[in-house]
Formats: sequence, structure tokens, C-alpha cells
Amino acid sequence: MVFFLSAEDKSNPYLSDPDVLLMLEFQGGNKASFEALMHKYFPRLLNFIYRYVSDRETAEDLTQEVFIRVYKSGPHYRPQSKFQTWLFTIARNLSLNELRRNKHKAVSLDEAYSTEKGKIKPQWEDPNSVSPDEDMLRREKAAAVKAAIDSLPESQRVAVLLRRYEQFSYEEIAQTMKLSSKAVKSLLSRAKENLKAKLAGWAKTAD
Amino acid sequence: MDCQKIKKLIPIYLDKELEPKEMQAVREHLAACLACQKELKAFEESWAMLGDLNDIHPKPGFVGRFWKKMALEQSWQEKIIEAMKNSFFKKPLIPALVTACMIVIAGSFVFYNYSQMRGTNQLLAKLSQEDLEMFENIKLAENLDLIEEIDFLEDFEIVENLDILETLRLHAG
Repeated sequence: MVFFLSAEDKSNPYLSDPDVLLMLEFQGGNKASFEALMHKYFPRLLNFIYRYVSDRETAEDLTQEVFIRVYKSGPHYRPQSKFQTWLFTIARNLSLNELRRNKHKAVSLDEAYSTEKGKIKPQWEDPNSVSPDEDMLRREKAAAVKAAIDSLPESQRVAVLLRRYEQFSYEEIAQTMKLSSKAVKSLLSRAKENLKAKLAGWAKTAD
Repeated sequence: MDCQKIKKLIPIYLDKELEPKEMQAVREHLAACLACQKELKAFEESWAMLGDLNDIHPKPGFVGRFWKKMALEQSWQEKIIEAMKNSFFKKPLIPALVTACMIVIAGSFVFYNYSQMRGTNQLLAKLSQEDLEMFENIKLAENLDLIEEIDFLEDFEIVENLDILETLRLHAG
């Protein structure tokens, strides 16, 4: 697929990002490029948003909404960051709006809980078959981890999710959260300190 | 660096995001300090524990659902655009009628003013010089009371002055 670049665009450092190129191809009319981006990112985005808002249905809806935004911005798209940082910025903003609107509470992963849509089944998915005791312990640990993450202030939580589960560099986190690298260092330092304190009892029983 | 400073740097040290000099300082300190080694281990364990939160898997048909949603959104947008087009282009009767009414009202107002002005001009053209002078005299006649009042005031001043002259004459005598 052919797409045209101005002289300014040719010096753009983000053109080395293959996802940016896919987005530009989509801008040129190639819907397959958009689908390729969607296939690559939607499981990651879904998990990021799910860990953020603690509700699977909401996470699915918001993930779709992120891609609707990307699709609609196709005609005006200008690469001003790596594609994934742009994508996660949209995801974070939408999730934050959702949290502010509905004020979701931290939800234990191993218990059913209620939302305005009714009773939701446990969201824990255990890929490996283990003994009931081990299963119980894993569920409790996961619940403790979830509670620890949910207890973090919003910006610390986003930084942790991006670093721990998306393997973002500090620079990428800074771009996604519109912060300086120094601020990200400070955020993550405090977040790790908080997590260590919250999970201290569990760490001793680990393994 | 003392233990307090090192403990603050450990979370970033674990991500290898410290400046090279700081990395070196922390590494050297850790090699010799058991308390800070313990601290490092605690950070590592709690960070590793976050891995116990398993991924969820998307429901099948995510992409299909996305396109369905997009199609629905686009059909709504198209419907709105179509409705706008219909109201403005395919049903031109209402706006055309409104425009015609406005033109008739404005036209009749202009015509009324024009006919009034034209009648006055025609009347003036028929008048002779004497008639015009009579018009001016009529204006004078209308203001006759005022003119007489002015004359009266002037006479009144003369009478006042006569009194003063009389008083002066008596004093002189």
C-alpha cells in the first residue's frame, strides 16, 4: 500500500516504528493494516484496562472503544509518538473517565460480586490444573496482588501496569502518561515501596 | 552512600534505570551490606508476585464484534447525514415558501414607501410660486403668537427703563 510523506514526515523518528507504518497504511485506505494492529494489541489492551477498571465487561467495551477512536482518527493521524504509547494513552484516558463516572471499587478475583448489570461470576482463569489447596492459595495471592495494585494512587497504578505487564521503558511510560522521566522514576519508586509493604506477608509464603 | 539513600535507589536499580554512576554505587554497596541485600530481595519478591495475576483471555469474535459496532456507528452517522440531506435538498418546499413570504413582505414595504414619496413629489411639482410663498406665510402665521410675545417683552423693558429714568430725574431735581 502506498502512502505519501511530506519532507517534515521523512525526518520523523517515529517512522521507524512498524506499527506507525501500519497506521499510515491504514490511513492510505488499507483496512488489513488496521486489523493487523487490532490483532496485535487487543489482548494486551484488554488486560491493561481490565487490571485498571476491575470489570471484564467494562474492559471489553473500553477496548472496543479504544479501537473505534483509533479507526476514526485514521484520516487525521500524524505520528507524534510510538504507536503503542499513543494507544495506551487513549486506553488510560478512557479508563480513567470510566472510573470517574462509575467509581468502580477494587474487586476480589475469587469472589462473585455485583455491579449495576447484576451478579458477575469470578474472573479468575486458571490455565493449569492444581490441587484444591494450591488453587486456593493461588487465588488468595492473586486477590492480594489485585488489592495491592488497586490500593495504589491512580498514577502509580498506571505506571506499575505499564512497567510490570507491558514491559514499557521509563521513557515510554513518561510519554504515555505525559510526564518527565524523573517523575516516572519517582512514581515507580513509591509504587514499589507501597507494593512491598502491602505484599510483605505474602512474599514470605511465596514458593 | 549510606543505607538510607541506597534503599531509595533500589526500586529503580532493579529496573536498571539509574545513572551509570548511581548503578555502580548501589552495586558496590549491595556487595558489602546484608541489610540492603535483604531490602533488595523484598522488592524483588513483591514485584515478582505481581506475575500471579493471570491474564484474562478475550471472548472469541472480538474483531467481528468490533466491525459490527463500527458498521452500526457508521449507519447511524449515514442516517443522520441522509436525514439532513432530505430536509435541505429533497424537501425544498418549506424553505422555498419561507423565502417567498419574506420576499413578498419586504417588497410590499419598499413599494409602499416608494408610492408615498412619489405622491408628495407630484404634489409639489404642481404648486405655483405664489402657493409656495403662501406656505411660508402660513409658517409665519403659525408663529405669530411668539413674535408678538417678543415685541411685548421689548416694550416691557422700555417701560422698566422709563421708571429708572424717572427716579434719576427726581434725584437730580
